[in-house]
Amino acid sequence: MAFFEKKGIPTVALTAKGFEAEALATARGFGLKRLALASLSSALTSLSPEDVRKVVGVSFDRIVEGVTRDVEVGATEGKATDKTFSFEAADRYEAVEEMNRFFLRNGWGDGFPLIPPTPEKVDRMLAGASRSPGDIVTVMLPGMGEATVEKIAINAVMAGCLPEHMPVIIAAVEGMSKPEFNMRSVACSTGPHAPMLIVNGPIAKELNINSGRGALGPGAQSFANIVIGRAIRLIMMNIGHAYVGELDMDTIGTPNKFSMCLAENEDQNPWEPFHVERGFDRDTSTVTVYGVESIMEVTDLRSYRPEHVVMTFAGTARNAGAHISEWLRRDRFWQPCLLICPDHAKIIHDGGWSKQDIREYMYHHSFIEWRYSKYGGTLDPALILPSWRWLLDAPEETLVPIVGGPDWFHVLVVGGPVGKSIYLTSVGAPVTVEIKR
Amino acid sequence: MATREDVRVGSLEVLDPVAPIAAKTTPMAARLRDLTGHTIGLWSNAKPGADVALDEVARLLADKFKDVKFVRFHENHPHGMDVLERAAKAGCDAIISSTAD
Repeated sequence: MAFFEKKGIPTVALTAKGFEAEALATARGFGLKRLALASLSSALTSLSPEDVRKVVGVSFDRIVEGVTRDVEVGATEGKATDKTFSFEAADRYEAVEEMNRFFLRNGWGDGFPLIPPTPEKVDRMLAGASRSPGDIVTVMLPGMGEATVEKIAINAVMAGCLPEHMPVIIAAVEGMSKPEFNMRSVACSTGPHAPMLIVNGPIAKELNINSGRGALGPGAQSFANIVIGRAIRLIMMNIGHAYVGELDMDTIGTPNKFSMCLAENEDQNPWEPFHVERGFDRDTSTVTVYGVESIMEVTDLRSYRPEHVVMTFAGTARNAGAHISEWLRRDRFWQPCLLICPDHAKIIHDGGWSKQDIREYMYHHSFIEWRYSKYGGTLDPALILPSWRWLLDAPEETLVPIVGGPDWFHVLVVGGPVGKSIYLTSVGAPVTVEIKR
Repeated sequence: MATREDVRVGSLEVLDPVAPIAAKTTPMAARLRDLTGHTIGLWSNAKPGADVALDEVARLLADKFKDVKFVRFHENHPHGMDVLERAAKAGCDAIISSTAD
């Protein structure tokens, strides 16, 4: 709404109880100190039309006042202070604990203990970046904080990163600033969305970013994965201002939000690596950022023919809880991804299949019945892509594709031995950025 | 910033992790005194319930104010800047928005 206020057009936002802080924080990010809100007693989702009308009726006077009276309710000031903080305690260990309590009280942590971002540690972290501390990598959605190299370094220290991780983190922040990444949905949504980082090229081995067993899990072999992914979350919070309940409105949440970073298993990928497929040289190091909605295991320890393994993938993809119907109204809003384990990849490749063969097969074998996407017939025809409006009158058993075409599926090879792959749904497109050192 | 001599056994100095907001403060638009005869933009993000709510807002406004006109806008993508530009150019005197939450 700041867009319109800046142009001299008064606005009022119908805002549900519990979402006022988000609206005010969004406005603050765009430079508005105040915002006209008409508070509603509840969200309008999952209500019958009759109940929606009742909720609106109760707040109607506030709606009119929003555009006809000066706004008295102001947005709270931002949390940015740009200070240093000092802690005194009986010993250094207690001072660190005190710092952690203070940071948590201010909402600056993810809940796990933070490494103190002392000036000395931040200086060492900055030495890992090829850019100056004051360089602004981006103005970060959703809260529009200035992502300077220094602020990125401070959060990287807190996450436990090493200086050599900085180029990956800076490139990931650049990638998340691209519109196709869809940062607002990844950061703010009421859904459990989290960014996943996929590292390709020589830097993956240089930094020991795990591409094999347990690449997305805990443990020493995934140290780099864990701290880099954690830094991204802290950056989203403290630079993007995506704090829970303010600009992160997740209904239930997901452990994916703590950290989600891996490298592609290029050694056991029988096809070309993901970054090469996306136009980079094999020797170029890249990071791909990808807004993940949910992850599902694909177990298949029995099949030994490509069409059988990929059929198991396709069966997993037939999942109406994901944003399947979203693509009927938003072209390429979501693009699913297969993290194929090396055992499955070998079967599929040795059977003569290309990645494109996988995509084609996935597309044609993952249709679901329309009944699972039609939400009881409540979809508004005006919001559906014109070429699919015929579906609104189609029988419920009509089979509908889950994506707009085969190339919406992405294929990566990740993991250790045994036939357990992962199917991911997303809320945006993957964005691949070169890692500059 | 503390010098090395200042650093005692139990003292710790750390840097602020929070980034300042980049945007310059902008004033709010002047409010209308009356909606009679004005054009109201009804803007939704197309989430379930948002458009039903705006339909009801339009009905109630039309009952209360004479000659009020409406223009509807749907943000069908989170980065639908084109929709915002279109709404700004549509001659709306005020915008009422609903994101359903």
